[in-house]
Amino acid sequence: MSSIASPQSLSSTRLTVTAGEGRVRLTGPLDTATVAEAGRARATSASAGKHRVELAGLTALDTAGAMLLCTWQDGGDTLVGLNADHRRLVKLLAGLDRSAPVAAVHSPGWRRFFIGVGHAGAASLRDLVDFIDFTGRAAATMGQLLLHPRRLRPAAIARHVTETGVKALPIVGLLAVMISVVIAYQGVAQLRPYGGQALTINLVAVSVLREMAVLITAILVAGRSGAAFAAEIGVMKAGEEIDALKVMGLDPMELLVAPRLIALMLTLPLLTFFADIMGLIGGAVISQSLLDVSIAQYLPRVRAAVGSSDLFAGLIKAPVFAVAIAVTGCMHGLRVKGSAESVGAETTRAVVKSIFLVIVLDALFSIFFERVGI
Amino acid sequence: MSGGNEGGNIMSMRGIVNRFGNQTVHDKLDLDIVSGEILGIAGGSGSGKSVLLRTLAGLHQPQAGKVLAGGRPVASLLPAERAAFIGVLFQQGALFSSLSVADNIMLPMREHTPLAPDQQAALARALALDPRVLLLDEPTSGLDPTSAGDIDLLIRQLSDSLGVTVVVVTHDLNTLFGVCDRVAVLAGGKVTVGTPAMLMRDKNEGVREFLSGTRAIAAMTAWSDAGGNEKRLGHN
Repeated sequence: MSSIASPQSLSSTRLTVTAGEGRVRLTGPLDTATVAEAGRARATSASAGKHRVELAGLTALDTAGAMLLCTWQDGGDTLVGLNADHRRLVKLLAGLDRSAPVAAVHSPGWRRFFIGVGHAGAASLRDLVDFIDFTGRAAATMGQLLLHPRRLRPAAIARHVTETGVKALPIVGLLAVMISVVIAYQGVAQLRPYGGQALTINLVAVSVLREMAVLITAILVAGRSGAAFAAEIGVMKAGEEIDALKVMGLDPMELLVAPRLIALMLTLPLLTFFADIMGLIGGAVISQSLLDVSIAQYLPRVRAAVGSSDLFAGLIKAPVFAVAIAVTGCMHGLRVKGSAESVGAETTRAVVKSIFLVIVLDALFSIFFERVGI
Repeated sequence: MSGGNEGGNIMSMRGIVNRFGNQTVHDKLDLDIVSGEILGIAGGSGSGKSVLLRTLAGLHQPQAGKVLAGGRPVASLLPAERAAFIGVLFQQGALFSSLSVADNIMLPMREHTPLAPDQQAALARALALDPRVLLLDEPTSGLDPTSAGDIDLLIRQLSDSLGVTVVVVTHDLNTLFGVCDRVAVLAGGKVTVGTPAMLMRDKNEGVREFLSGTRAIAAMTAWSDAGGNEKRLGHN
């Protein structure tokens, strides 16, 4: 005889399992709390084989308990003394398919590694093809809009210029100042041992104009606006709004993608120029404090250090980065399928990919400028 | 049963095949939509009802087969022509969340008609209802029974007063039996089309399975009690 505590049951808190000659008697509650013990108690105290299970003293029975009784019944036991409610529950469960679900077969780890690599490779290839395809279609739409400028949407373009450009001004300016501070401190520290700390001004001016301003601006815009593009369009896709546009005979490319693309191609060069100015202002402030070079001395030094080709080498990259960011953002927005979860996933992908693209393109530009000698 | 070619077909599908992965949703499916009728498309979850509707609307390109709208392939229609021929009500409404209700209605007009704003407004009502075929995706899902009943009534009225051909994808058995002239049951990649009375006698396994649920039986009983085809919504 054994007793098992059941904290959940109110009437009687203990289940008693009594085993005798060819019979097992359960008294008390048989529920989730006591079912495991009940199974064990029967296994230890009753002999193997078929039994008569007496259940008249059962005070409570839940699904887990009924499952145990079903298993016993399947093993050849006879259940007696069940009250009407309990019998109905046991009967309901006995009629169900209680076989355990087939366990999923996992490939061994080393194989899964290769399968993963294969899937990732195939997905990258698909992504690349999609990107080229989408860029082509966006270019075709832009070409059509050039031929029919009346189909341009000035209101939408203006809205996106505000969102991606005007509202980004404070953060872009702040980052540009910060970057020139970072470069100036590094420059002074490295050049001072050789007595060349005055060249820090050249270092700041050249690196801000050629690289840092446009790169920082593009990365920031990729995070800000690339994500916004993907999320805005993605939500419309998830709500079947894109399909609704199509059945109205409207082209999502012309209505949604083109205004964003045009707006970003306008704002990114302007933001970059703003970042150039702010970077140089940051350079002036840091020259004053680190090198005791006044503004009046700083300006001629900057003019001597950089030419207009340095400025244009930076600015020319901005529209190219803008295309990469806008196309990536819009493409991932349109790739959203159904759920809100998919909007989040595609937005993340858009941001990661557009930052990646910006840096790769910047590297290609560096090689190109080196070759042509700008 | 599937309409034949009496020339009364406003849209038809021929040999439509749709596959997703290795699952074939539509297997050389043929469907004719008779001008002026209300056709219900029914079938279990995942049987491809919505895909069928999207294929009809030209939003989904089938792997094989063609969709004809007014005798011309739907894919060859200009976007504006297609918009004037087919109107779609999406499951989630698909209203443009960034626009007001009025702007939502005005959008297709502004894009397609070079008219002054007040003329646009005057045209709005007419044009918004102008499509010759209206495709509805689960119009009563998620509605309380009263509102769902109002939608049923509206579908009937649209069809009776404007002669619009309506294709309605629905799980709602009251819509299927109370409003539709014919019902197409999707099962096993094919459709079985017939009036509700014909379907109740149909021997096809998929159709029998669909109509054997307790709710289906209740809806059919109510429909038969109401006098079947003779007495229905909007006619009393």
